[in-house]
Amino acid sequence: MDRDFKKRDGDEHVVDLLSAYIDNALNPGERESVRAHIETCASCQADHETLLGTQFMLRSLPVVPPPRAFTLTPEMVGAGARRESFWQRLLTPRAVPRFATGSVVAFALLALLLVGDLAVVRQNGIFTPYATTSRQLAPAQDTGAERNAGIAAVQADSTATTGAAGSDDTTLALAQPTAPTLPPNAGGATEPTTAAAERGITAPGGTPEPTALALMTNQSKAFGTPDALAMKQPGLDPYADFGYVPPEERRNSTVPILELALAAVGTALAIFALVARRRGV
Amino acid sequence: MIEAAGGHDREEASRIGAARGGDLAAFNWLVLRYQTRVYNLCYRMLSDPDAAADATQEAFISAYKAMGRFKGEQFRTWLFRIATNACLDMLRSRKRKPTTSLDSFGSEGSEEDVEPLPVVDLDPSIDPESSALRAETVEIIQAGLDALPDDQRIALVLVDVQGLSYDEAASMTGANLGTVKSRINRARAKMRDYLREHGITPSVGELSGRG
Repeated sequence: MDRDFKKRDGDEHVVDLLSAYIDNALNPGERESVRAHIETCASCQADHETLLGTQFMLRSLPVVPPPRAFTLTPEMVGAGARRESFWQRLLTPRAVPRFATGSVVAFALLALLLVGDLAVVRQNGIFTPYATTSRQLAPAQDTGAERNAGIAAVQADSTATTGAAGSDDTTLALAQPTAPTLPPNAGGATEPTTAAAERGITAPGGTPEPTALALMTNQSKAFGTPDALAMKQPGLDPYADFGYVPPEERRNSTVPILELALAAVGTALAIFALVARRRGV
Repeated sequence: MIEAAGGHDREEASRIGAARGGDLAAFNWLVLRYQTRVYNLCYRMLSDPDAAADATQEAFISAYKAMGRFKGEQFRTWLFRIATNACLDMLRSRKRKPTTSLDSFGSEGSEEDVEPLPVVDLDPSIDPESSALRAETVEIIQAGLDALPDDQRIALVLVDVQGLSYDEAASMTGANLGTVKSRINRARAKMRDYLREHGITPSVGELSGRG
């Protein structure tokens, strides 16, 4: 009886260890004493078996198929914007769809400008006075700089026609590429007005397209007298920054080439934007 | 119960390395490999398919964002820890909102008309079709799990359903080894009693006879 009572005390103790015994989470001494106890105690043996059965049933639970795949999309982890390259973000008008159409219009204008420039160069050589080019590029006058230049040219023309030597000016301007020895004071009567008209448009505006301004600068330098310029802004040559080229060096001038290069780059970028838009990048 | 396939270990290591660098495709390979286990972990803890799916998705998103902090340990342990926390968050939010019952979890899920993607499981050791238990027995076991306190249910799901060691369970729940032992001991005894009350005598021999 005494032995049975001790066994009961042992039961209480062993019951607490049975789960750890099943999971092999006891130290060797505990494990051996539990094993020995189970062999002699029917109650603990039954507990051990039912706990083992409970564990077995839990492990036998069926695997439930997931209702869907849980793969992540860039949007889920907020990585969508970072995946685009710098150039894609710069050139793809995603945020404002209206710009998509704008990019096509820009492409058309730039292409027209480029074709017009090439036509002028082909016809008149690499350097041409602006009075000629602005007329030939009339369809492409939609950009701000072109418009300014066009107005300047028109005003210069109107001034010239009202002046006494107006027709001579036009002839001289057109003939200039083949006459590098243009007299500096040709058509002197009308030149101050012409220069003033051009400066009145370009100077306060501040930032017309540099290449267009440079062309106009060359033109006004060609036709304007140094005295007239000096009177407008004494002590400051407003055109010095734009690389004034003397008439005798004009065939080697880089200014029209620069304009052509800019137009070509602009066209290339516009084509890229167009393609990117078409592909829905 | 379910052992990781050894042949995939090297592949997994390389995918983990890429995923740590932010490679989403590499991480999705890991998702496909572990999603069934993570979903089942959540399903057994939450007893609700929609809540389990939410917790699983949340766990993988958290894991991807935390990949940079993953260091050396077993990926499964690390991932299960995140999933366990996602389940605990869901259990806590359920308790904060007493009106949110299991039924309402189900009705919320019906709002999503997203067509589910096909499930591709990269763990060849998982066979969703096989079970030695009858459907009604499975229901009773799940009800028994639901009847347990959260900490005991989590311990029992990790150790008995998922087949993890005490050490792993302790690591995932932040409890010490003695606490896990104690929780398992109490949970398993309660589960046995619950099964008995519902006419099931848990026994390895009887189970195989039922198959």
